[in-house]
Amino acid sequence: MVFGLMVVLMSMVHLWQVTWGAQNANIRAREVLLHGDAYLDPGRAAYTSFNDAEIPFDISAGTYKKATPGSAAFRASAQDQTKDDIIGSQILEVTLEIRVP
Amino acid sequence: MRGLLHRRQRSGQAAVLIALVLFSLIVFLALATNMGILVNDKIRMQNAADLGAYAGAYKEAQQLNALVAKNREIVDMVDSCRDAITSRPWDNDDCDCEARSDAAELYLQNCQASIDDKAQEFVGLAQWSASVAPAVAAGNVTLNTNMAGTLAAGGQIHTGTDSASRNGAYRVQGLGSTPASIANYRRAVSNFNYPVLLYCRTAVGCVPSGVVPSEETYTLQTWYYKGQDLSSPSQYRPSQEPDVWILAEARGTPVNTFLDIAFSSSGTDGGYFGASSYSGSTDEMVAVAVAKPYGGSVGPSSLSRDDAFGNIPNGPYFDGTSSQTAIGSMIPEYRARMAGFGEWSSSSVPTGRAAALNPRDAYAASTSPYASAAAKLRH
Repeated sequence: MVFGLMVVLMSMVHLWQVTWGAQNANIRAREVLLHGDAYLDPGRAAYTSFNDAEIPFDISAGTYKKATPGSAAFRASAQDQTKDDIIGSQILEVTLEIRVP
Repeated sequence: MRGLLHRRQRSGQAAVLIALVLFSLIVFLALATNMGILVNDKIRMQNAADLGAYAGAYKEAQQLNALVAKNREIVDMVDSCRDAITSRPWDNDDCDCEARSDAAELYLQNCQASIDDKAQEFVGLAQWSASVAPAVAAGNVTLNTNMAGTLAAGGQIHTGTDSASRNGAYRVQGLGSTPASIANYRRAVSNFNYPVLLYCRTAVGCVPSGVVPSEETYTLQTWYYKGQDLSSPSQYRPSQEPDVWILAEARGTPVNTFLDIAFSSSGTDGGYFGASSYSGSTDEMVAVAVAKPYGGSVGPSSLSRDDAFGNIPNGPYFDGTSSQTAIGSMIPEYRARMAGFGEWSSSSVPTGRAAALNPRDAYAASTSPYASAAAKLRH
C-alpha cells in the first residue's frame, strides 16, 4: 500500500515536470522565433530559415528583423528535458514556424 | 479473550483510511492531467495567435518598405526634371512672341506624366488588395501551421477597419475616391518657377503684346506624404503612423477532459482558460494577439502648413532643398513587432480624440469579443 502511494505521488511529480517542460519548450521556441537567441542561452533553442542564405534576425536596431522584400519563412525548435526520476526523464521538443510568402 | 475481541473490532480501519487517501490522490492525479492538457493547449494556441499576428505584420512591413522605395523613386524623378530643365535642353527654340516658353511647359508636362506613372505604381502598392490582404493571408498560413496538435482548433485573422461601426478604431482612408489604402497618403505639390526671359527668345521683329513676365509658375505634383485630409486649412492635423493592425484569433474546443474542472465542455462560464462562446452553448479556449509594423516612414512625417498646401519655397529655380528634406524623411526600415497586452487592453475603450491617439486599444476592444478573456493565462 505504501508502495502504491509512492507510485501515485511520483506520477504526479513526473506529470508536473512534463507539463512544466512543455511550457518551457513552447515559450522558448516562440522567443527564439521572434528574438533569436538575444535573450536565451545558446544551445537550448535553435532557429532555421527556409532560405539558407537568409539570416532570420538583424539585431542592429533591436531584435526584430527588418522586413526586406522576398521570403521570410523560418522556423524555430526548442527542447526541454525533465529531471530524471523513478519513472525516467523525457525530452520535449517544440517546433514553430513563420511563413511569409 | 477480551483482548482478542478488541483487536477484531479495530481491524479494517486502516484499509478504509488508505482507500480514502488513494481515492483523493487519484482524483488529484486526474486533475493534474486535465490541467496539463489544457495548459498545453492554451500555450499552443497563444503561440499560434502570436506568430500569426507577427507574420501578418511582417508582410505588411514588407509592403510598406516597398512603398518607401517607390516614393523615393518619385523624388529622384522630380530631381531629374529639375536638373534637366535647368540645363535648358530646348536652347535653340524660340517663343514666337509669346510670354511663355512652350518648350519649357511641354518639357514639364512630360516630366509630370512620367512622375504620374510612378505615382500610379505607388497607389497600386498601397491598395488594400495588394497590401493588407496578402498580410492577412500570410498570417492565416502561419496560424494554421502552428495550430497542429490542438484539438478541434480553428483560427482566423482579423485586420483593421472593415466596419464603419467600429467605434474609435483607426480608420483606413483611401486617396480621394480610390479604394481603401493602408494609410492616409497625400500628394505634395511643388510650384516650379522658371524665368521666362531666360528660357524664351523672341524672334527678330517680334513685338510682344502686354508685359512679359519675368517668370512663370508650373505646378508639379510630386511625392506622397502622410496626413489627414487637408482640404480645409483649419483642420490641418499632423501626419500619423501607418494604421494597420493585424489581430489574430485562435479558437478551439478541447474534446477530451478527464474531469469537468475549470473548463466546462457543456457550460458557459468560460472557466480559467477561455471565454464563453457568444452562442452560449459551449465554452471555447481563445487566444488573441496583436502585431504592427513599425520603424519606418513612407513619406515625410511632418510638413509645415505651407509645404502641405504646395507652397514649397523655391525659385527662380527649383532648388531641390524640399526634395532633399523629403527623401531624408522616407525611411525604409519597417519591421514587425508584437503589441504587448497592455497596449491593447480592453479594460477601457477610449473615444474621440483619445481613440485617435490610442487606436490599438479601441480597435482590439471593439473587434475581438475575446480580448478580455484572452487575458486569462496569457503567456
